[in-house]
Amino acid sequence: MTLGRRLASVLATAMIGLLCFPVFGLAQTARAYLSQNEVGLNQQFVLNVEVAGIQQLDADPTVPDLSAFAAYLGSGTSTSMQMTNGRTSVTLTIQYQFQATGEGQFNIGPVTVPAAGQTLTTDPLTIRVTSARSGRGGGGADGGVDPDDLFIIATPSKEAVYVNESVTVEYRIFTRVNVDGYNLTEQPSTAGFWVEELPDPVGGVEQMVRNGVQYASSVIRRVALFPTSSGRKTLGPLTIEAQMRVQRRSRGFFDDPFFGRSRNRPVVIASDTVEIDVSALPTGEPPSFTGLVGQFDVATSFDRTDLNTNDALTFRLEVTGTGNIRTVVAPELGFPGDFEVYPPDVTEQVEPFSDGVRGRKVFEYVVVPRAPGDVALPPVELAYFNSDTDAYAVATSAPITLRIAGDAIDAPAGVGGRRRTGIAAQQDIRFIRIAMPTFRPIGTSLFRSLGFWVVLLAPLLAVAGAVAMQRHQDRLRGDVAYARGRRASRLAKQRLAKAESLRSPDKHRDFHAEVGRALQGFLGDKLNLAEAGLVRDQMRSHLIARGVSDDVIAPYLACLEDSDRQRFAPTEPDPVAMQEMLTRAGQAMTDLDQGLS
Amino acid sequence: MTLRPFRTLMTTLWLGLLTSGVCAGQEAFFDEGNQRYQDGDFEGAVASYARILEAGLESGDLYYNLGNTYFKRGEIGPAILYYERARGLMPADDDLLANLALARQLTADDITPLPQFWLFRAVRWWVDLVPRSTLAWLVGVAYLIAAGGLIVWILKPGTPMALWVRRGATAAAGVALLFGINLAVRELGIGAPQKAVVMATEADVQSAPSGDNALRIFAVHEGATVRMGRRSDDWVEIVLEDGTVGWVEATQLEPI
Repeated sequence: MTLGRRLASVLATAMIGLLCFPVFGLAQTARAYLSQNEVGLNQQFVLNVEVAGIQQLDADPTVPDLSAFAAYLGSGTSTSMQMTNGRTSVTLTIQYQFQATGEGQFNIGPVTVPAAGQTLTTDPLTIRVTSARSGRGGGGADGGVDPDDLFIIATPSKEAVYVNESVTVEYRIFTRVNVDGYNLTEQPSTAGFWVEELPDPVGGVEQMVRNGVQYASSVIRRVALFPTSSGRKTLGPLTIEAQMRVQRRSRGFFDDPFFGRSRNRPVVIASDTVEIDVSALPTGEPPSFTGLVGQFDVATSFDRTDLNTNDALTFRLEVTGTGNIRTVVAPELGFPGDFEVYPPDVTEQVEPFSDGVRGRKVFEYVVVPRAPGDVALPPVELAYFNSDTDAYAVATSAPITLRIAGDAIDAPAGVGGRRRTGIAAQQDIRFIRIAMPTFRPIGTSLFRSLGFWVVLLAPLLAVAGAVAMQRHQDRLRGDVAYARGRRASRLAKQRLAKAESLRSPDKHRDFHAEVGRALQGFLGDKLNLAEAGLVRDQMRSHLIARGVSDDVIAPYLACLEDSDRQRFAPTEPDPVAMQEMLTRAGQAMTDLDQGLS
Repeated sequence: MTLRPFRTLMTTLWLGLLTSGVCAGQEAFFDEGNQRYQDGDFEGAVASYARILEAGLESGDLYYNLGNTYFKRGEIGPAILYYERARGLMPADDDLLANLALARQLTADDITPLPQFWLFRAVRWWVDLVPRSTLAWLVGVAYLIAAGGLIVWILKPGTPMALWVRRGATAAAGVALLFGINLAVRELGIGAPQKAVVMATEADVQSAPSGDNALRIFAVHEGATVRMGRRSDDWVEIVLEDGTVGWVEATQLEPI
């Protein structure tokens, strides 16, 4: 059988190839016709343009504008060959599919077809569009489809809901004809609804009985809708273009099971509109209510509960439930002020179920505590309207206690400016100084104060004095001449003092001896000479050698001589003369001291 | 005979040190001011404190109390001025720095200071470390100890005691030198530019010393601390802590 059919195909192709040749040269004609002259509103009709004697067109035909009463759906081309009495005729047919959109009687103008170098024109046509769904689509093979054979039913899960309560609408196709596939041409208008598109159902085709007729049926679309306001809401129709498989009507020679072919024809069908009554939520909502309707649960957790200050931890807030989970906003968290809470990372997961959608929304916060201690976090509350019990409810999480160790840490300054608010209220300046301070004149500098210079210079002077004193002592220790010289005045003074104590007439000899010793010893010490062996001439020469002038030497020597002479003189001394003697000796030594230095 | 001039010197020294601290009568005003402050009479407190200043006397604590009083009166400009003046006398005082920081937070301008080279910061920290009077005493005493040790070392060389005296004197000399530099830097004001505090609620900053509206660059507000630069008639060049430069009318500033 298979072999036979393949043989037949090959034979047919060969014959066409042979027979096509004489076709050229035949006259070309164009003709237009409608699949039906009367069509129901929203039904389809086909405008056929048939060009005989040609296999290919020079350009696409120009079809008159039918938008006043019909919507263009698509076009297709087919060629057919006929052999009559050994002559072969070729026909090219272009089919334009339309859907009637307006009622009334309409004219379809001529179609111009550029073919084989000339322009062919068809005759004008007339079509009537009626409000009634036409019966059998004119019975023609190329007509529309019976609405009882192929239709879409939209079914809402509920017809009366509260604002924000979910309602699922299911679009199901029913067919008694073969449908190869479909695609959505028009989404239903969903103004006033938050739409959650549910994934395509995988149920496949099932057999269903409707109104006593068995149909093949399949769910083609499901949406969860959340009305955003109250009132009566209308959901627009859903329109699809289905590919209906029709048996091709064969003619003549090839009207044979061997050549029986089928082809797809697009058919547009629309669902009815859906009406939903939306009622407002009752009053008496909890303060934290944000408009959630459904059933919800809230749970919180930390990745750990024992930590140190400045450690980051993750706070997870999970809201689960049925309802419009995507509209859940993060509830108020009861973190104390010394917690730094960063904006959350939000993930949501929504899945459909029989009566809407359910899912979870997770908020993950990074939280950094800045102060130590046990912190009991209050439960997180989420208020919602329970659509099952028609009452408001509040979901709460379990309280959690955090144990934070470590030291308090100053939070870093806020980004982009200071937190000025409330500083004055929270902080105050430190108290004034009560203890009596030490006042000082304004503008005084340390360098202008006496004390500074005294402290600076006195030690320098003291050190200089110490150095001088030390040098002096060193000379005393090591230099006899220096030592005797330094001692001379002192010894001379002692002797003169002793002489003065002897100033009485009976002791005048001792007096003069002492004066003489004072004078002689002074010179001996000054010149570092042995005084015992000093002769006056030697004294004179020594003194002259030291550069002492004669004016000084002469009174000194005279004084010394006087004291010697008086010592051994028999004359009774005169106290006045003795006093004068002392004065002369003192003066002589003073002069000598000056003369020597 | 040799000792007499030294004794005179010491007497002068002590007298010189003491006279700088003896100022009778100011204590009464200070106590009065404190009392009025505690009673909430801030105007009265300012008047009392001001009498000490009028007498030509100052003190870090006095300026600090004045700053507090102006703060309580809500006058942030004068408060910061007096805190800054107090800071000149007691740079490292904890209470003072806390109050100054708080007052600065209440000023309208949020000026971010330019980052400073760490060495300059370290030096500034070191210079401001010890309060002025303590520093002066420390340097003085160390200097005297070093000098005394030097004298003993000169007069009694070679004895075992002299060795320890010498070590002590060396240490004291080191301290005197180290803190002496510190004291000198602070007293001479090396590296401390003349600063001023903005007293006007809002002072226009011009790009040139002229009141021309077209030259206005920006505005600084009461309490902003600025560095003073050149002068031109009634105008002062100011440098903000973030390095911005401009000219402001001198009447709107008060030098610290």
